[in-house]
Amino acid sequence: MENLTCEKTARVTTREQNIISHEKAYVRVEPGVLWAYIHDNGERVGIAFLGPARFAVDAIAETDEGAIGESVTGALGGVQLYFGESNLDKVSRPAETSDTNTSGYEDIRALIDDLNSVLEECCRESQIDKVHLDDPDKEYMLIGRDTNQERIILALSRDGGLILTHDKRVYVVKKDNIVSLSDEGVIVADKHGERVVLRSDGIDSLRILERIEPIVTHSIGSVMRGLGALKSIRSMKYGAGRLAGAADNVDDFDWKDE
Amino acid sequence: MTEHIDEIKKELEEARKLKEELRKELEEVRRQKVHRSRPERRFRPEEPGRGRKPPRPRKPPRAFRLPDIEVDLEAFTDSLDDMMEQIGQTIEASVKEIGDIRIPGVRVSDTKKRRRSKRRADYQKIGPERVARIVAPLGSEERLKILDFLKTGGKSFNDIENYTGKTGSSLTHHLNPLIEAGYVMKGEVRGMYYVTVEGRLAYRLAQWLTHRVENQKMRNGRNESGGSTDADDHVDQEVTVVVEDEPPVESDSRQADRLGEARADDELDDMDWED
Repeated sequence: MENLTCEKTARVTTREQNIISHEKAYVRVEPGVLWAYIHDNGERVGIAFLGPARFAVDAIAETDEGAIGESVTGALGGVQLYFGESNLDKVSRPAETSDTNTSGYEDIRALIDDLNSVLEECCRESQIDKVHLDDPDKEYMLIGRDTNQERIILALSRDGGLILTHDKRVYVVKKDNIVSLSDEGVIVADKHGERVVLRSDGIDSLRILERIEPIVTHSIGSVMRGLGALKSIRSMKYGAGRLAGAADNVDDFDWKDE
Repeated sequence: MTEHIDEIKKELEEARKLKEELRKELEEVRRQKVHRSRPERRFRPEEPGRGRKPPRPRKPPRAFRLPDIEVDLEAFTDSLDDMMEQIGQTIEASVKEIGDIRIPGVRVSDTKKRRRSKRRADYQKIGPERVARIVAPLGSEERLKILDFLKTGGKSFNDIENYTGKTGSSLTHHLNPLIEAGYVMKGEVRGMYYVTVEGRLAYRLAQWLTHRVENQKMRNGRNESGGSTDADDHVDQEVTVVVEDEPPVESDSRQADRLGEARADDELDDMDWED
């Protein structure tokens, strides 16, 4: 953790800008957002920011049977940590004390201290000691909270996969398969629309339970491929590499349209 | 279950008794038959050389005549029928109570029938308001077109405009009910529209409904739909089968297969509606 720190210089946005722009998600900051670069051993790996921002995530998988999932939107509140390439510099200027005052900080130092404390707490909770993105231009991760102080973790991979945890909901989505945990229970669906739904009162669609393991592994692993930041599930990522295409074998579902 | 087994045992015991009575009666019949036939056996032609008179020509053998016995077989068979019927009813009642029973080599199951009748009873209770909530959002050609279009994948508002020919608020007027009904979902990131699993199901059921109603109209001789339909084709095929004078065995079997398929297709519950 001691490698990850915020730069001592703070900036403030002057225009609206998408900090994340991905086919399945965006995080948009508005003018007046205070932010500072996060360094990992002297290398810029992301930013910590504070101020008005919104997010939208399409946790939707398009299966042969129809779309599954939902679109999650909301406003961010408090300090957010973003890892990946950033273009905020282009729409920002150096922050002044008057900017920090409007956000409740006495000066820039107080702001940076707060950003660092949040970064430290987050790294401790999430057991992050190093951040590495294979392709920071196309891979992003956001760790923060919404305006209701519900935790949000969003990880996006370059091949269109995403992981979103928001409040009590969890989505792992690739283009055409999904693993989700929501009020409906745990849903595992593959590209053919075959689904297993685990609810408190039982399990639906037991038919593909025998193939559940490769589907789950493939779904999560393919999303995680390239996201080196989350070391704890790296073994699963490599496991999915070995089982690539395993879920493709689920091809006997009878659901013809014509 | 134990009560029924006891009843069955009792019935079987009665059957045994009746069988025993029948056996005794039959033995009695045999005894009487033996008794009557003895004098005939005594009548023998005398040995040659011993007799004084020439032997008389042998009489032709008398035809076998059943003795006149008073056995009320009709009453017996009637009672046996009654008894078997009772046993059958008892077994049936027992099976119904148990539901499924598994005997090696034999499977007695009534669950499918029960499940189907339960399902039928369930959906027949659905009131018009509930039906309207599900069906009303589908109630225009444009909305059905949208569902059909989205089948091929997520589409932007612009794509849907181009496909349906509806623009702006006119298209929104059709999209909103589909979204509210959960048949279509909108991705907020790029504003893409997707048909949901429920939407696909609703559209397929609407197609099935159309097929069934058109088919029924054709059967009743009222084709109110314009143009050739699947139902028309289906009926034409059936007529062709009847008109053709094919070899009877092959024709019959083919026709039976086709009729079987048609019947299976007609029954909503027989279709594979797994989700």
